[in-house]
Amino acid sequence: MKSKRKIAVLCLVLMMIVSLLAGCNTQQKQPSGNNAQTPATQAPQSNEGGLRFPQLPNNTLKLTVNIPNFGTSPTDTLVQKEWQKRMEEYLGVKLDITWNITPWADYRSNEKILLESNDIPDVATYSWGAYVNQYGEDGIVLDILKYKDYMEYYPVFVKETFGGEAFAYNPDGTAYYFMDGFVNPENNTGAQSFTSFAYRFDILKKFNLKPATTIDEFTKLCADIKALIDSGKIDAKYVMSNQDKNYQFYRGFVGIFHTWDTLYWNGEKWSYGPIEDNFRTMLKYLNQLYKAGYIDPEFSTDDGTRCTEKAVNGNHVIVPTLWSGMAGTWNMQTNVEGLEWGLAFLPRHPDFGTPWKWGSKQEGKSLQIQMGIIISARTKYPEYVVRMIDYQYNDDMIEMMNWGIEGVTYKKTADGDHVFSDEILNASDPVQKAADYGIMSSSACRTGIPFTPLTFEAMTEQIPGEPWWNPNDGYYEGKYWIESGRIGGPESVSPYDRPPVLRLSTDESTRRAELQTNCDTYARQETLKFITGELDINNDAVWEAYVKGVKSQVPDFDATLKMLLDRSDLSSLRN
Amino acid sequence: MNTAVKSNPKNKIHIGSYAFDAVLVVFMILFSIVMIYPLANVIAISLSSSQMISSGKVTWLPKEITLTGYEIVFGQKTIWIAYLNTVKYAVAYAVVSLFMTSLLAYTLLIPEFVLRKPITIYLLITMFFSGGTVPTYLVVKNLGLMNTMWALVLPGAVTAYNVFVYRAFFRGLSIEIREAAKIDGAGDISILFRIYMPLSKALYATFGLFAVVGMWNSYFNALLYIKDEAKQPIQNVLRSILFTSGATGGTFDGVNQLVQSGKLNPKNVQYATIFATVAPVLMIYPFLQKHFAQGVQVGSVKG
Amino acid sequence: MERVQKPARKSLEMYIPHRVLKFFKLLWNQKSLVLLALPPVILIFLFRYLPMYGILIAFKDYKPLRGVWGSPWEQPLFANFIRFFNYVDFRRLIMNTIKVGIVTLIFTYPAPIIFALLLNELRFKTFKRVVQTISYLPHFISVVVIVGMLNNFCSLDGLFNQIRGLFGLQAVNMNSGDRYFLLMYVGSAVWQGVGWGAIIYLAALANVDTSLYDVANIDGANRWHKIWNINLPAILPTTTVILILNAGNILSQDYTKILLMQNDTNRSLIDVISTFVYRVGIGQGEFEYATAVNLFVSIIDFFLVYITNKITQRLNPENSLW
Repeated sequence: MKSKRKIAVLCLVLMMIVSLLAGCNTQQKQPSGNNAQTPATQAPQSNEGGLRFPQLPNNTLKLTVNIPNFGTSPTDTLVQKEWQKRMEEYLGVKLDITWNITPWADYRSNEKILLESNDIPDVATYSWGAYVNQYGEDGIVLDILKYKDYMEYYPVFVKETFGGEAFAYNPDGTAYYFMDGFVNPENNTGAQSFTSFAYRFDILKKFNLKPATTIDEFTKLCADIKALIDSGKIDAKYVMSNQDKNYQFYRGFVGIFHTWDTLYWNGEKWSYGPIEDNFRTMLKYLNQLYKAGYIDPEFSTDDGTRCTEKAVNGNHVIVPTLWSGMAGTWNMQTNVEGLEWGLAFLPRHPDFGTPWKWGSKQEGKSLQIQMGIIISARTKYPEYVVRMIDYQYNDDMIEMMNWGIEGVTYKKTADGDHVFSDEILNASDPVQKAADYGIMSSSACRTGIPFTPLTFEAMTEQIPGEPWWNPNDGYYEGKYWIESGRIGGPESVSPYDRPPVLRLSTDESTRRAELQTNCDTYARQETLKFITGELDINNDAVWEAYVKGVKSQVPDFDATLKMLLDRSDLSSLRN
Repeated sequence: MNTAVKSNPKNKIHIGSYAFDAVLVVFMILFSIVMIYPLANVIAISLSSSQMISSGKVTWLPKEITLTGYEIVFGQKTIWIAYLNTVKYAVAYAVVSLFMTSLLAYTLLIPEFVLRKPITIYLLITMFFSGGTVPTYLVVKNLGLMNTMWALVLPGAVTAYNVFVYRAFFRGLSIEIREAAKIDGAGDISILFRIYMPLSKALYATFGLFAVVGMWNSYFNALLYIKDEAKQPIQNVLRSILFTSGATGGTFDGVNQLVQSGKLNPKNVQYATIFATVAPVLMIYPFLQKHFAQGVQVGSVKG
Repeated sequence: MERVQKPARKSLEMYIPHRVLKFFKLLWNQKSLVLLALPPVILIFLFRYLPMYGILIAFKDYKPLRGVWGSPWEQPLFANFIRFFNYVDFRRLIMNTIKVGIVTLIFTYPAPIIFALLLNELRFKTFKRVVQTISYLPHFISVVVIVGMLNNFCSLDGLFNQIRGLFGLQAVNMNSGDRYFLLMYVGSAVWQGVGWGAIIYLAALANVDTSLYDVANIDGANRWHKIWNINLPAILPTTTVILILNAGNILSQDYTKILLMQNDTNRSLIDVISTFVYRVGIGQGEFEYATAVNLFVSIIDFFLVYITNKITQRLNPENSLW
């Protein structure tokens, strides 16, 4: 028996060795493409007298491109056809593109697997932000600056953005992706969400109340509403509740108190919001609201479905933390006669000034780190591919992608302004109508190779309005993106949205991510206890213990914050 | 077997037995009510108007009956192709899995099999240690299986868990069968195919069902390995429907956009897709159920 | 006895040890079995063993281009494991995982068995079929829907509090904190799993020789005797195997369900290893770390199965795994 077992074990070991070796082989098969055509050796010299382009078979550029689907497939839309036509004209070659389209919800996880397997196609939409440098250094992704001479428009676009080349390119002169661009000539610094409180306009109007413009007005308003509820005049249970348990209740309040709910740039340094004094002040305020019985006790445990049920059934009157579009959705989904939700800008706290809003858009032309387009290092004709993507940053191309075809989907006014066609504007859903044409500013259909630069004005023209209120205009209909910028004004742009350029190595990125994840999880739980009164916010010892607890979630809290400051390029701040 | 039973008068046993039956029936009725609620709720919501769903007023019965969800889901041409694809994949997967697993389970049944212990260890290791998504993806790719049905069928066809359960089941069939057959001079291969397999209808019905349902509900593998739209299985197509629009041949605005604009409660369509998934399985189940019925006479062993 | 002089055989026997030759002889004798086992073994080799080098990622500083082999080793080798052990909430994470795992097993393992035995006792064939079909319907409802229902039932004016009200108890928000978490998690697991899990036992019960019941009736056995002496032994091999195999899954929980059930009142209290791995691996994209944690859990799983199997070897040797 013993011998049999020995032999069996030997066989097993043999099998494992073979499998390991086979696995070795599998891996080594990977970089075959690399050996065949190393772009470096093929990079033609650009000299006076024009660029050298490689010869294409049949003068056709054959590519595989991975893109996400945001709701409407771009295939065969008007804009997509025009994109192809203009590209072919510009490049002087025929394009034979195989599009691999994946729904956006699944795109990112699929993308990560392909990147980690070193199996990306010629071109792909990219959504993992600064990680790209890792892939670039490893030789998976192309360094687009090697082909800078083949670009005409991207470098110009880059220079016109506030961060400029320091933002878009790595300090060592490489760049591993084309960044997603944004065009905002009217300098509208609007934001998308959590910059307003939602009120039941029908109730306010009925009792001659108004949304609050200051925090004291807000406190009084809550008291008034509570009295009306208690006396039965308002058919509601609570003054306020949340929109979804996954978004902290105080997300709408942090801007008012000039703090933040996570790690942020406060204008001078990187700070962690939940342990700041301002944050404590905010918690004291929220605790008072809770003690007075204004807040629905289930505000932290109700999921989105239940919150919506409560909102459309008239359970509460105010929702201080919510995504744009929710108010409009509730209005359309309610069964209750006359129930109307509306928005008003965050009320102001006298000690802090104009409330900060989250996600204020950049003025003029800008780029963002998180999204972009990558090119495989193994692509056969990088000169053409770089040139192709570069063309998406051409002003006429940007206009076409965002507005469509003049005379068909938009027209120009005498002042040179763009207006969408009546067909689009009067459709039951302008966004879907625009998407059907392939207009990328609809955000429901992304033609070309996403992400192409988005024109803010085109986007805001399509989106529906929601009921708004402000002291000057009273009740009216407005668009979230626009109102938040108009009412808030330049002072509402938070320092968080204008941070300095931050260059981190992979390890440093990991440290920062870990700090945010671990400390945020802890802070969210503990701050909830302060709000409900389970922990005494006025007790200094308790607060100190809490701060200590937050910091202990990572081994080197203070050192990490200092590290972030050291890596920040302070010259990139605007003043 | 314990045959030392007190001699009770027959009526006493009868009454006790009937009481037990009655209680059991009541219990099963209550049990069924609790079990059927989720599906009833899903169907009710899939047939209700968005407003009623958002107000949380739909429980057992649909309110303000609306067929939008079903029109969207079944109106897309792609769904019918996807059903066909999935049936194909599911059948292939079930056949390969049942067959291969049986082969291995049978060999492990036999104590004298010289490779029994090594293969058992071989299987056990796979139960605990796995390379992960990326290496598996690379293997499938390098075997040239990308975009083929086999990428979905082969990788999961034989699992250690199943092999062990099959073996347990085979053991449950009496051991004497094999002895008798061997005496009659049958070889192992014919024993397996002529005796064990036909006797295991219940096992195959069970695991055939598991295999079909498993393939029916999966989407992640197809997401990685199937690129052609025409080859997509049902779950992937249903997920796309929740996102895509009339551009693919239907008559409705993009579901995603309808949801974004607040006009549609997505549950209306989502739950219709759940029903679209469950319904076919419910339809095949009756055919399999007779194999779970009592009364299989194992009379081949005499004495 | 005359000694028969055997001619000197210069063949294989001289070069290969006797034992090895014996082994291959046996193999040849059992060649039909070997033939049967070969295709599945190859399948497993291709799809489970070839990718296994991925485990090495736990020990490496993975660079996609260079692949697993070309990537440098972590300095120090067990860096990812050390990082996990130093995780601030490590102890709570492990305790949570063990607690949830054991309680889940205690309830989800016997429930399908009991249900199968009971269902088997139903006399009315059509009713039996209907009940069985209904019993596994919850299995098909996605976890998102189930958790949504749970959130609803457990809220202050939800179904469960209404039932509590009938007994005169005060309403309590069961979604808050972790007091009711185990109840909700395990309860919904049983709810979804009892019918589907019973299928396999029903299949085993279907194979019971009905003549055994006749004999038992003659002997005067009552319902209980029959269940204990006929049905249970029939499904014993299956139940034993499933118990041993499930012992290896104690530490793995359904992270989707737990993530959906998390809110700010209970996030860290119900965090388990699988949600942690999800957060770190997919959320933060740190594959090496996630692989290391998974490997750690796998090793413990293996020991659990080993122990359970050893116990089975003592109690019921013919049904143990090996």
